[in-house]
Amino acid sequence: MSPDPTPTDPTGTDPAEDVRTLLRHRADTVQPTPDWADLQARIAADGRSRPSANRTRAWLAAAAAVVVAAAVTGVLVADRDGDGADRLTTAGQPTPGPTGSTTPSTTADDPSDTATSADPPTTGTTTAATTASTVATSEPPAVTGDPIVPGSTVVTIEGIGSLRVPTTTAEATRLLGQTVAQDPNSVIDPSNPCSYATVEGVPDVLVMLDGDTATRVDVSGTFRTEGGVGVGSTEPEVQAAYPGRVRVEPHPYLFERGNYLRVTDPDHPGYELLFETADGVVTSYRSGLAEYVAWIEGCA
Amino acid sequence: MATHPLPAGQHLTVTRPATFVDLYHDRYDPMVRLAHLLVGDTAVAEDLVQDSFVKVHRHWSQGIDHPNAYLRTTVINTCRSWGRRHTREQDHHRRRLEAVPDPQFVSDEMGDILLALPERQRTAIVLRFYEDLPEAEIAVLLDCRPTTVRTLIHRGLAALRKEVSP
Repeated sequence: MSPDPTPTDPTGTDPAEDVRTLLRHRADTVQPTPDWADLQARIAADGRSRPSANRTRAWLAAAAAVVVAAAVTGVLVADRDGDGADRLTTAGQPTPGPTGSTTPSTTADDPSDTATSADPPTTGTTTAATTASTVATSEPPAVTGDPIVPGSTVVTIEGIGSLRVPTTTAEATRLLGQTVAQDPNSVIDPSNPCSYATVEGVPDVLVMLDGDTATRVDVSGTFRTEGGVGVGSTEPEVQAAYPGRVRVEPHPYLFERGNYLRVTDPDHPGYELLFETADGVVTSYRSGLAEYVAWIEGCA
Repeated sequence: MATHPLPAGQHLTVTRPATFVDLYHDRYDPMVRLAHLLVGDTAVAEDLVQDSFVKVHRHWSQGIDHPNAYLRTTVINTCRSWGRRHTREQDHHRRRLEAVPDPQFVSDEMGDILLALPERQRTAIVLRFYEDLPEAEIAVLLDCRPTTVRTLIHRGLAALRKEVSP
């Protein structure tokens, strides 16, 4: 490429002064209107929608080990049944279908598939139920039906209502009777396991997922915690609700205008309840596994 | 973006805002004006600048050595990306402005004339004559050589003069 002459005149005069003037005149006609609240909302939305880098988590490894062990046990028992059925009995739970088809019978291809939901659980734990969901069967989950209801369901350090993390979306759907499904818009990088799920009919609650495992709950509406506080509560009210258990940190976005109130519970190690405040008032909060609750930008 | 580093001793910025809030308060207006020159619409410019602040915020906690320059680069890149998505609209502007009106309206038409320029020429012109950036710094921002910047500016000026000449 041949070098073109510079627009700067060697004599020292500025041959482009007319262009400078026109540009400045044009720019000066603009009257910007900063909107800090809009920016905060965008940052919050960005934090919810952006995935993080892949992370290895000890509890997931432990959960996976339990899952594998329980699955093996379940298969063995199923084999002992010798009936050739494609369902597991050891977990004691009706076997949920694959993620995405976990709605009750109204959405099932064959309504008769719900017949197994009448089989009551006999043994097993949530983890065992999770195990069942990871072992493919064609039967939909039973619906316990303890739904999240604004105004009555309380948020705990482990989650909200009967949704206690960690659990799978299928298990959460079964427990709540409300579809808990990944929001496709929250997945930007398919290789990243972090995303968000929504709860059917409850727009003020978002469930953070690691893969298909719920890890934390983000609350922004009228829900209250078991301590009786929520959005709109003051910092002293939070302190009073959890005496001696609140650690105060500066809000990473609002700096001197806001705080993070981090609540732990010795009876629930590894869990945390975190209130975000602005000007002394709670604006949102989240609970669940402490490692995930600590992420300041959601999946980012 | 750092394939053509600045000459030794030359820095993109000299002051560093203490907080993200400071950065927003200090730089929002200038960035909107810059974005306006690049995209030609105030509402779009404000939207793109807000998005740019979001992008900057993603990295704020990790530490940004030169926030002002980082923000400006982000704004420029965001505007350029937006511009590429709206090439068709720009072509419309170009066709509409083939004949420039009375010189008394030249300043009012400046934004449209700018939009009629190829995107890299427009960006180079704005950065050189509005932001007063040296060619070396523009080369960094546009990820090209300084001689290329000189060419872009030369051709951009020639096109502008052709349009604004009565």
